[in-house]
Order: sequence, then structure tokens, then C-alpha cells
Amino acid sequence: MAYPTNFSAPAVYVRNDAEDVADVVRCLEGDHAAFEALIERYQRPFFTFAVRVLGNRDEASDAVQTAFVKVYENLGTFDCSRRFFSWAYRILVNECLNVRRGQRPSEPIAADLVADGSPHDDAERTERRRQVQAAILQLPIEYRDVIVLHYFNGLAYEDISETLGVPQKTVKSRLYTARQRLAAVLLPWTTQ
Amino acid sequence: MNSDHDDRLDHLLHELGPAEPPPDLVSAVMARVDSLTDRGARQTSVRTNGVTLMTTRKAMWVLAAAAAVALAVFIVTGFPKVDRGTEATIGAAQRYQAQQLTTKDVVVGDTQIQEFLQSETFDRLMKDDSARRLLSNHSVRVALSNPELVSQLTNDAVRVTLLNANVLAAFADSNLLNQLSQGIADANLRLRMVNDAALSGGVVAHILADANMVAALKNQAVWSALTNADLRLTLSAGYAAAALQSPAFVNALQSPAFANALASHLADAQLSANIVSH
Repeated sequence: MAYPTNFSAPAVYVRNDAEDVADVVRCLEGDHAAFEALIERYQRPFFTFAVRVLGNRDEASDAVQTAFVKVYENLGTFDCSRRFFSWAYRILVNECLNVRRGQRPSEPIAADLVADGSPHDDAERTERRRQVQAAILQLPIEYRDVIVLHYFNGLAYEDISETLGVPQKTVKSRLYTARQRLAAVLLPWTTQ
Repeated sequence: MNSDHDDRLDHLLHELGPAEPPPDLVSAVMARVDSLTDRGARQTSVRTNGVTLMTTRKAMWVLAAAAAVALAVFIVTGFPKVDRGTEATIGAAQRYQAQQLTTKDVVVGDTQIQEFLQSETFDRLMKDDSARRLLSNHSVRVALSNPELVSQLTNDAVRVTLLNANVLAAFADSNLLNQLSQGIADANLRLRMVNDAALSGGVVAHILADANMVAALKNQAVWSALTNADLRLTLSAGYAAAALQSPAFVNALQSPAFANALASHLADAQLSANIVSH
């Protein structure tokens, strides 16, 4: 069965290792535009991660901003032999964990978090997205991370492993469990 | 989960999709970064394969101040004399120096460096695990930025000499190094040292008995490279031997842009990235 999708662009993250390193070097040499280029490049995957993990646009925006500032503050400790995006992602993941510690256990999911704003976005689809976002937020954080990194940011197992600092085997296992849990919650509902 | 369940779950997740960041996110971050820069709060050094490059104005001022103080001290107290005891070592090696190549002799523009970095030769080099590991070492990259050493390394005997355990041991010991230097400088003494164990240690005698190694060590670039302890440590590793013998590495050595690429700051970032991404 073919399912319609509202995907305007693939979620697959395209690696820019050489470009990243060049921008980091330029930034350390005092070129602000180079850091702006890094933010432009990663703001979408970073925000997607934060919003899907935190379930709140304002908190996600704050977390992403703070993560980028921390990236800037610590650029001097970045080892150019590693991948910039994994290093920066890790800072974001930690920042989101910090935000989560201060979150109330269950907050309502705002409509703008799940609506795509397109004219074809009907109430049913919006409700479906709300359910999916709610199901993701119900997952333990270690499962939520892998689901978001894999499905919404298109990271491969290897990249998720490097970003989260866990073996690839663990990534696969968490992804499998996360999918099982999501299926248990979502599939009965979608067949109604 | 069966295949249909998989498909439906994938669809639901994809339908939720990525989220668009607020339009002012970049400007908000840059405003915070600007305020940080005004306070000079950012750590501004970058690590590349373990080497820290200080890039702040603060670091430059500190270095400039230190240099000025050192210069003032030398002007007042006189410049230090070169220590005695090294003349034989340096002199012997220098006596056999041929006219050396310098970076001025091999002029390769940035375009050629870029062409080399995008060439099949470079690609093959980066796909060779041992070569990639070797080139990720800073001491190696500094040493190989010398076109003369690169030129010498195209000779099998030179590569064998650099990897030889006796050679590495001799350069790590000042007494052995002194004996080696004298033996290389004087053919008659060399012959006697090879035949009379009392005149030199077994390590040195073994080296001097090998005409290829003697010829290699007469080259200043080779000799100078071996005086670097970090480089010797790297050369003693198994992957270094594999790299220096790999066709990909030997092939890259033939390229005139190879040494310049390693010496080029422009290419450094790209080289680092290629070393990582393969």
C-alpha cells in the first residue's frame, strides 16, 4: 500500500565534513560569517531534534540557541579529526536533557508543533501528527533520541552511534524497541 | 511487526516530518555570540590531531610580549653560544650534504594542490588504512612537507632505512648517534667500526655495514627527519611500515604536489577532513 506523504524534502542529512572543518577554522580565525554558515547548515536538523524530543517549540528554540552558543564557546576544544556535526549534536542532546529535567511530566502538544501549515493540512492529519508526537514523547529518552535522529534527521546507525556515544549494536536494538513501542501505541489507533 | 505494520509506522513517522526552525533563530544565536565575543569569552584554540593552534589576539599578544622580553634579555646578556659536543654529529652530516631542494625549487600553486587533493592518487592514499593513519600524525605531515625528504622517500632504501630498528635506536641515543655520525663521515673509520666491535656498538656496526643505509643517512633531510623523536616513535609502529610499503603511498610520493599539499595551510583542513571521512 502506498501512503501519501507531506514530506517536502528528504530528511536525509547530507554530511559536509570538509566544509564544516573549513568553517570552524575560519571561525577560530575570527570570521563570524563562518559560524553563521554553520548555524544555517544545522539549524533545521537541530531544531527538528529539539522539538521532537522536547515537544515544545519555545523550549526547543531556547535549547538550540543555547547549544549553538555552547558550540561557539567550545569551538577551541573541537578536534578537527572528528565530525563536527556529531560533536555539535552531542552538545544539543545534552542541552535537551537539561531542559527535560526542568519540564513538567505532561504538557499539552501545541497545534503549531504538528501542523505543517499547508492548505491541504486537514484536521484528521493534524490529529494523527499530534498522536505520533505524543507517542514519541512517551518514549524513554534513550529511545526517543534514536527515533528522532534516525527518522527526522536521517542519520545512519554509524552517525547515531557517534553522536550518542553508544555502540551501533545498541543503536539498532534501541531503534527496534522504540519502533515496537510506537507500533503498539499508534497502529491500533490508525486502524480504527 | 509484519511488513505492513512497518510500512504504516514509517508512514506515520514520515508524516510528522521535520520541523521548521523559527525564522529569527540564526540572528538570535548570532546576537548572543556577538555579546560573547565582546566579552572575549570564547576559547580560541583548535586541536588538529593533538596539536593545539592558538588563534586569539590574546595569545598573539602574549607571544609577542614573550618574544620582546626574550630579545631584550639576549641583547643585554648576549646571545647564547651553541653547546659543545654536537659539532661532530652536525658537522659529519653536513659534510655530506648535497645541494638540497627547497620549497622554492618546487613551485606548485594552490590550484595544483587542489587538483592533487581531488586526484585518484590522493583518493587511493586516503583509502589505504595504514597510509591514512600515518598521515594523521602531525610529525609525519610536517616531515613530509619537505620536498627533499619526499624525493628521497621514493627510494626504497631510504624507506627501509627510516623503518630500521637499529637506525631508530641509534638516533635515540646520543652516544650511538655520535658514533654513527663519525662512521658515516669517514669511510676508513667506518670500515674499522664495522670490523672492530670495540670501536662501536653492535647497533651502529650493523647500520654502517649496510651501504644503502649509509647512503640514505648521508642525506640531510633524512638525517634531520630522524632526529625528531615523535617521528621516530611513529616510524616504529607497525602501520608506519605498512604505509611506507604501500603502493598508494609510494605512488603519492611521486606527485610534486604531495609535499606542498602537506605544507599548505589552505589544504590542511581539507586533508584533515579527508583523513577522517574515509
